[in-house]
Amino acid sequence: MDRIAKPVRTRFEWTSLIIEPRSAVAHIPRKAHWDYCRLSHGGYRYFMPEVRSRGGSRQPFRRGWRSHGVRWLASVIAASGALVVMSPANADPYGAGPPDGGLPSDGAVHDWCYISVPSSAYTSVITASMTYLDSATNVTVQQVGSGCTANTDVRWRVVDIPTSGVRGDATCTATTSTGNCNSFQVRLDPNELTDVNNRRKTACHELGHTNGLTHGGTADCMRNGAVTTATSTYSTHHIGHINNRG
Amino acid sequence: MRLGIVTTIAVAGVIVSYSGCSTSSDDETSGSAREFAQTFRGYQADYDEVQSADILAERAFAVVAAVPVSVSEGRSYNINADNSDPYVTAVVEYQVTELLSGELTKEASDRVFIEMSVTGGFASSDIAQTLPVGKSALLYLSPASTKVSDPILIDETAGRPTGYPLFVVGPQDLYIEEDGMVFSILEGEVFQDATLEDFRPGTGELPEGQPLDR
Repeated sequence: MDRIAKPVRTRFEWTSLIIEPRSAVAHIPRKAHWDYCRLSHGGYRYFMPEVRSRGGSRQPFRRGWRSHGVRWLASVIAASGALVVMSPANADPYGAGPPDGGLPSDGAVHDWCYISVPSSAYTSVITASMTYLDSATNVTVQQVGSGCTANTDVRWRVVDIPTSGVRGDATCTATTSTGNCNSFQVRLDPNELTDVNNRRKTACHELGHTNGLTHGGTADCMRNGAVTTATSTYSTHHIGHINNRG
Repeated sequence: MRLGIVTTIAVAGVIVSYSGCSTSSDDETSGSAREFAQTFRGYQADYDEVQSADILAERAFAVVAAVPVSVSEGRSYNINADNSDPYVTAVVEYQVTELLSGELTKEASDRVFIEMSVTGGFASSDIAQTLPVGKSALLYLSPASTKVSDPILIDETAGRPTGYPLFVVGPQDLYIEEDGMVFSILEGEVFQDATLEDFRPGTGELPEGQPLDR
């Protein structure tokens, strides 16, 4: 069956923006440098402009501040309108990248099990993904030897997922009182994951979802869809999210 | 003159109270597409995103235009070693308004039943409260797995009347139109200034969406 992989959707990625003053701000003596500061966690779409001189220190306009002020205010309003249209979505305390609005895990220990033990082709990539999570982040992983219980954080399963094109998925089956996820069921589809790079990548990907990550990145395993090379690690940005359960 | 003012105020009062009752009634029986999408925040997938509705149609069993009707508890799965506390899905019933591609059985040509994940923090009853009843939807359907292919499945026939097939949808397979926008329910995306026409087979490239804050 023919499938066309869709490129990663383009969204604005920036942490600061320089606006060259035009007519509305032509009399301002220095080029305005606008920093857009994130207001609060989770409010990544709302940014506050701050005017600084080019050198970086905050300085009031010294001459004709009233007329300049009116023009400056007009430019602020115009720039704000532009920002609303642009709707930048990729910046948060962990740097440029997706805001990762998934359900974070319930603690620093990520225990896991198999709902039914799969073939070695899958136990190897699942084990590798769990080991990588343990080594690359502050999360500690441990396998539940006696099988899955209601509180096991990650329950792995290798099974045909009926919807074509879905390589794996993660479903939070129970949350804590604080809204974190207490337990995920993770499925890997053997019909879609026909080579080790894709098995390894999707195992890493779904494990990322169990730690609150959403899609994003290009060399990161949290990108969507098939890969042609080994892609089984998280970006620094994603590791920041995991380490802070955010 | 005074009588006229009094009459005007009285009529206005009746109109206000009537419209208030109507809104309240709607609120009690129907949620919104945005709220509905929120209940699936705990579901994430790794999938091959496609840009064309034609490709979605090619890989679907059938494509229907429909309206959401109701939610009920669906099939259960044993996901614990001791078979305690099974995972129970939800089933959403849709009234089919148009079959766009594929073939459905006689029963399913009228109503389709979709198995949905019930994700942490929500129950079937929560999904029912958020269901945007009567809103226009577009679904790319795949048959649900059967007990033969899914050994942890407990009750194959749950969630729909006898004889009706059960379907599932993938991340790009369920769209609901509301207030001049289209919501991709499982992807958690909103498409501003879009209609379901933009997502039908034969319409070319899919629109560009924005992630929902959820």
